[in-house]
Amino acid sequence: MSESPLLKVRNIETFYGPVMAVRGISLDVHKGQIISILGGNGAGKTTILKTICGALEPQKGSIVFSGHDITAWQPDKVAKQGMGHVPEGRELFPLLTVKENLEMGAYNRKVKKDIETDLEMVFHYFPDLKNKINLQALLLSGGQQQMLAMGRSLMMQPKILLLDEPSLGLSPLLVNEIFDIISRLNSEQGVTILLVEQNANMALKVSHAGYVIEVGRVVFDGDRDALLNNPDIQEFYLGKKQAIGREKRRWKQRKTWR
Amino acid sequence: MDNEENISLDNQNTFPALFRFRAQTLKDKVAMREKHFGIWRTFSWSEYYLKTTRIGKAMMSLGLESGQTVSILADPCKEWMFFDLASQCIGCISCGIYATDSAPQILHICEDSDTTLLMVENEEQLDKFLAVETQLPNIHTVVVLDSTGLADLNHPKVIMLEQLYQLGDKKDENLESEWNRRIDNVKPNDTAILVYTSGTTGPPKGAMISHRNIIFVAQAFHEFYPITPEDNSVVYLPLCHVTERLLSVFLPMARCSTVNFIEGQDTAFENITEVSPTYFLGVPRIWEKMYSLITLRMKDATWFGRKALQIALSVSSRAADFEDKDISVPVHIRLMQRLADLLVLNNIKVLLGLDRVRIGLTGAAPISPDLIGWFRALGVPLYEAFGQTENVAFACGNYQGQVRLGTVGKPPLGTQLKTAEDGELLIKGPLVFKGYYNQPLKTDETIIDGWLYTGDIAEIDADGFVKIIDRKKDIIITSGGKNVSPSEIENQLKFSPYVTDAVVIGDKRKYLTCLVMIDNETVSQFAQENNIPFSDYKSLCATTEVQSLIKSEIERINLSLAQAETLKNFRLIDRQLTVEDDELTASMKLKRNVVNEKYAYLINQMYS
Repeated sequence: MSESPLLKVRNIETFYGPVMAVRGISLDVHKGQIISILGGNGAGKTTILKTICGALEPQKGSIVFSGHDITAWQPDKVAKQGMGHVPEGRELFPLLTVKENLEMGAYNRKVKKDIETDLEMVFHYFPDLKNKINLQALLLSGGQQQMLAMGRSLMMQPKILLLDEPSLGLSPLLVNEIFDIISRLNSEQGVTILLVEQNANMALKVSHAGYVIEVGRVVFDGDRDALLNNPDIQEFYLGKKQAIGREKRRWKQRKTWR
Repeated sequence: MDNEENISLDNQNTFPALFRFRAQTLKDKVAMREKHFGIWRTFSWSEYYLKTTRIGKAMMSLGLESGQTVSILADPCKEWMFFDLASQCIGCISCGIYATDSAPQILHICEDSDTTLLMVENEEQLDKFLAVETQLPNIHTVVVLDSTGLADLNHPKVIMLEQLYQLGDKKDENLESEWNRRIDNVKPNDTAILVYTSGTTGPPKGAMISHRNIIFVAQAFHEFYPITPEDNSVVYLPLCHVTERLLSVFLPMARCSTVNFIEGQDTAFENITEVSPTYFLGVPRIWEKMYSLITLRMKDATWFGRKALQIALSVSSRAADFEDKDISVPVHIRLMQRLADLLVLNNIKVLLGLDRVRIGLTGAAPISPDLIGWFRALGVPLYEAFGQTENVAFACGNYQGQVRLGTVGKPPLGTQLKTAEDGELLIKGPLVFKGYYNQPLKTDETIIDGWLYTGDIAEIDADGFVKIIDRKKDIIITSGGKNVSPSEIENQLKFSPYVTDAVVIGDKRKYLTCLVMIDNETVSQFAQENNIPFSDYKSLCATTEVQSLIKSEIERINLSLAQAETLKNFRLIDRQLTVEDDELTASMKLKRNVVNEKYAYLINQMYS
């Protein structure tokens, strides 16, 4: 990993009023990787993504994206640099059709022909959307909405895609499908992805490396194997019981993160 | 044993008898408070005694005989005390086990102490017993306090607390009279409690402490630190540790004061603030943590705030100096001190929950005299005391009017102290324990002609103040032939808010070095403030900025040390350690020999 990372976050601190939600977080995302951020409710995962994409302004720290210092830039300017953000809860335009939603993703682009090709690419990955092309977004199912939100971001040919809990509210089968597509987008299209997930099992299946966040701080980081083999992650995030105590035990071992 | 009759409290010469007497006389006075769903609930002395009686009767109906051992595996809670006293009242020996101990450690203690009945707090602790159950055939009953998650457990030996209470409620005249007979039959010289020493060398040994030992120490303690029935204390350290046992079980009963249980380790600080205790014992780590908390807060404060604290502390410390020497404080200094307290210092004391503390104590481990000075300047009367398991945690103490910083004070009346030729501190008196359980050889090595060999090197000055130099086996002799006391240097290091603990190395080496365990919280904050990227604990330790931060702390301390004592190099222990690790004692101190062995590779780096 000698080349400099595509996204370099250093010591960001983000506040909601007087509350410091992100307490000095640093992370690296290299080109072509899928990096996941794991953590419980309220750990600060979403806040990190919002800070990176410019929706929130960090009080401190820096964010460097493909050679530009984008710290505290406006979100639209960050997006123009090639950062796609698929927010938690999709945030589609409910009254616009599927096609219009997708075109909104490409509002920045001029060359008509390229947009057409990308539209085909999105439909290639999300064939379901093609069947619903003229339907209003609010009439789609949860899974289709997630697909549409991801498709919309892909329409701007992002260098990096920030995915905030793509599995939220989806059935297990759909979760499998979405993660399969995430994996394919990465391997086939070379899209770099920063993924926030509560579903650690799925997230670790597709990602190359990850960070574990607790109360606004990184407590553990490492490549996929290091994460999968960590006893704390196994017990607290993957729900595996270690071979101690009775089979039905309810208590948990203390976390040490090492 | 000639003066055995003299050692009594309110004419009672054992704690079971004193307990019965207290319940009869104090009745509805509050004995303990426990927080339940966010509300402090009180328990009177009558309830305390009644619950204990029910448990004691149940134990007798389960066939427990005098002299058998009952072990308690739980965090501090009121039931801990019920079981402790119930066992003692029926003539059994009560033995506490740390809730953080692992199954093999529990096996060792239960086996060594011949435990027949075991009380466990919950499912987690029960599982530890079940893991080693087959090797403990002597245990015939296990009582579980919290039955959550155990509804479908069917085990012939395990019963729930409720079932035990029912056993004790059986209408049985014989049981009632047997209970009182057993209390009357307890002899002052009987073993009341077994306390397992942390055992830095070899497996833990069970120290046998008699009723007479405890009664004597409870009295001696009162001479130095008068506690009244209005006083309040907080139970937050493990009760199997002899110090917390003395302070929270025996002293409140001797002085009729009230104890308050914390909810858990995570809420300890908040609970202490809520209770605002009037006497408070902290191990040095607690005082160090409070000091770092204030130091860090002051970094964020305004220039004016910092200056105000500085002035207030210097004014107040001048007044404290007079008090330490028992000289009346000049009026103008007294006035300024009152003003400083009103405007600045009291707020800090309230923040720490120390605003009502009349008696603050530190013990169980060495502490930096500067830290004591800081608290005394703050207006917290903090006294350093000295004690070991083998002398019921109280052999010397500084007390009001008799304070000499850097010493552990003077011994109580009736206790003789001297130093052996090699400087080892020897103690004689009714506070010396009976010996190690089932270990006559070890006992004979420790108590010779009635003198307890403490294993500590000490100096006794002309006024009788005792200064502990170090553990005898810890003294470092460098290859240059210089004797160095590592703990003195380590204490100075620990005074830094960034250092939790340190181990100085240099025995038979050319120069001294040290291994440092950083304070995760304060160093993380330092890194955050100075834009130092890090992810986990290991990477935090590895950053050059943190390395140079600790380096500068060490260089600062080196200035105050003699040439031969200066630290030439250091390494950080980059694993985040917990109490469950071998490297730490139950009070979160680094174990020297384990650290030396485990981190030999780091030590070798510093000498190659």
